[in-house]
Amino acid sequence: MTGGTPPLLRLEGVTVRYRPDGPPALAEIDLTLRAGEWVSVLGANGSGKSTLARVLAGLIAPTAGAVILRGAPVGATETGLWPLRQAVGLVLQNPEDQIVAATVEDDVAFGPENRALPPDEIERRVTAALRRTGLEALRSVEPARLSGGEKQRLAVAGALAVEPAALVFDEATSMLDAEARARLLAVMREEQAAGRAIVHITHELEEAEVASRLVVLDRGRLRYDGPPAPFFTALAEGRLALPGLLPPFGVRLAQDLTARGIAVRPARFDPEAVVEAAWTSASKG
Amino acid sequence: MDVRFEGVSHVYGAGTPFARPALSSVTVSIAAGSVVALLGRSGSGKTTFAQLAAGLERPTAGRVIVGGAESSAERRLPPDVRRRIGAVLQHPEHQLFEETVGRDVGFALRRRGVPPDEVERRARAALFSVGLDPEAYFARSPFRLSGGEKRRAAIAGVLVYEPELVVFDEPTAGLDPEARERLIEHLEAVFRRRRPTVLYVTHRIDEAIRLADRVLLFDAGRLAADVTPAELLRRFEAYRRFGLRPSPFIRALFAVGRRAPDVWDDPPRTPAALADWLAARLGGGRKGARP
Repeated sequence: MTGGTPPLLRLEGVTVRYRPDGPPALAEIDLTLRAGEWVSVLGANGSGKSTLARVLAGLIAPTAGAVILRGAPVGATETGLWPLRQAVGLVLQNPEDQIVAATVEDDVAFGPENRALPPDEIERRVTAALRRTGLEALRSVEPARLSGGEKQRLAVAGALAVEPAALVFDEATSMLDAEARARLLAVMREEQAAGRAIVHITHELEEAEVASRLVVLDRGRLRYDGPPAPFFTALAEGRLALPGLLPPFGVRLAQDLTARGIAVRPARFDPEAVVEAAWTSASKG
Repeated sequence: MDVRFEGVSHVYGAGTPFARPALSSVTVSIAAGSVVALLGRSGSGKTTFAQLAAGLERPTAGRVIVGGAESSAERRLPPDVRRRIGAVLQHPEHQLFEETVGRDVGFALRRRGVPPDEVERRARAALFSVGLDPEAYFARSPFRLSGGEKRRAAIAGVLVYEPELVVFDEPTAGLDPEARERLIEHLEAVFRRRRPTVLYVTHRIDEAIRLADRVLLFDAGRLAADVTPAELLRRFEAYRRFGLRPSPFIRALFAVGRRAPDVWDDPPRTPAALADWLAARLGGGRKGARP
């Protein structure tokens, strides 16, 4: 990291306490986020994932430590946080928390309107965001009438319409059905390809498994920051025990088979590879 | 408690410009004691179906008959029937509000005038049934629990009055993988032991296959399929058009099926059962394969 452009976002020693005497929700987190990268964040319920999302998106300022946006420290006041809020889009775990307008299209237009964009540009962005989240047909519907999954897609559309430098998804796939989930992951990949940084907070091990970088939180502390495979292998082999987390299905199946006397060491842990490895192992044995 | 839908339709916001049909002419009978998973895309009608069965919504047309009582556009389910129904809606832990877990779990019983000792006894038993040790949890503040524990405490608050029909709407949503696994284990045990009629709305096909003895698949407000979990697995490709996608578990089953088509005769319903099946088939252990 010598010379060149500074990273999009850096957290340095970030600690967040919601109560002065309480345990920190985040403790001394150092984290760098670069343009165009995809970081998946795993952790048990209560590990600090949502607090991390709020810090990254400038919804809250850290109690201690610094948030640095493109080389410039971000202030802790409302005005100071503003550039961060402009740069980072956030999709909350509970979409109800971020729905503001009386119709679906007005809700998506809210962000671009706040940025005082020209009307035809707002219209273009709203239409594109609704199309990409599959909500075109519900354009003039009242958000209160949407299903949980539709509300979650609406929150995603609102974040996309702002076209921020980074997008943080806090369990944004949790209420989606399989199809909508696959569609959202595809949209996230397109956003990444367009040069945006993606932070994907999830409980879905199989979604985290495909990330280029995995960040793991445990009771507010950063426990891992690196490629997913070594982490899951360590978890599967019991070299690492973290509350709340399980290895992905393929890794567990390989473990279960090995425990039943079928030694399985596949090169990859996708379900098909593990099953094939079981057959190969049995025919040799 | 048995449940019958007779030509049931439901429209949200009927008569307003925002009217959205959610369920169209559904007819189906559910025998007492069955565990029925409701699958389908978001907006396919599965949650509406569950809410109608629980008496939380009334049909716009047709009638729902629950435990012999009727709910229709004109008639609400009578209170004595509604008291025998439990509903675990999305994020039930948001409704925890008492000072202790024990008081929270006992809330519904206290309101029904059950004597205090019996409330406590039953609240403890309900906590135990969801895997929360009453000794450790009864006197604790619900707000000091982890997300998974809160969820289980909230579910105990429904199970405590031993509803004969329980509706679950995405009970594992938002839980971390371990908490999810633990909750399912306990639900499985509760369903087996108490035999309530269960309607279980989920996006997680693995949960449906593991817990249910029958699967109702909804598509655009209609009942698109009514099958056993084994049939669902066997005809999985045909159901893709209703939005189903294979989980890693189902992908593994398909991979096994390509090698050994007889896996479909009685397909394993859990990852552990799949490993057992493979071990039996491939002779692991017996041949002394080295771990």
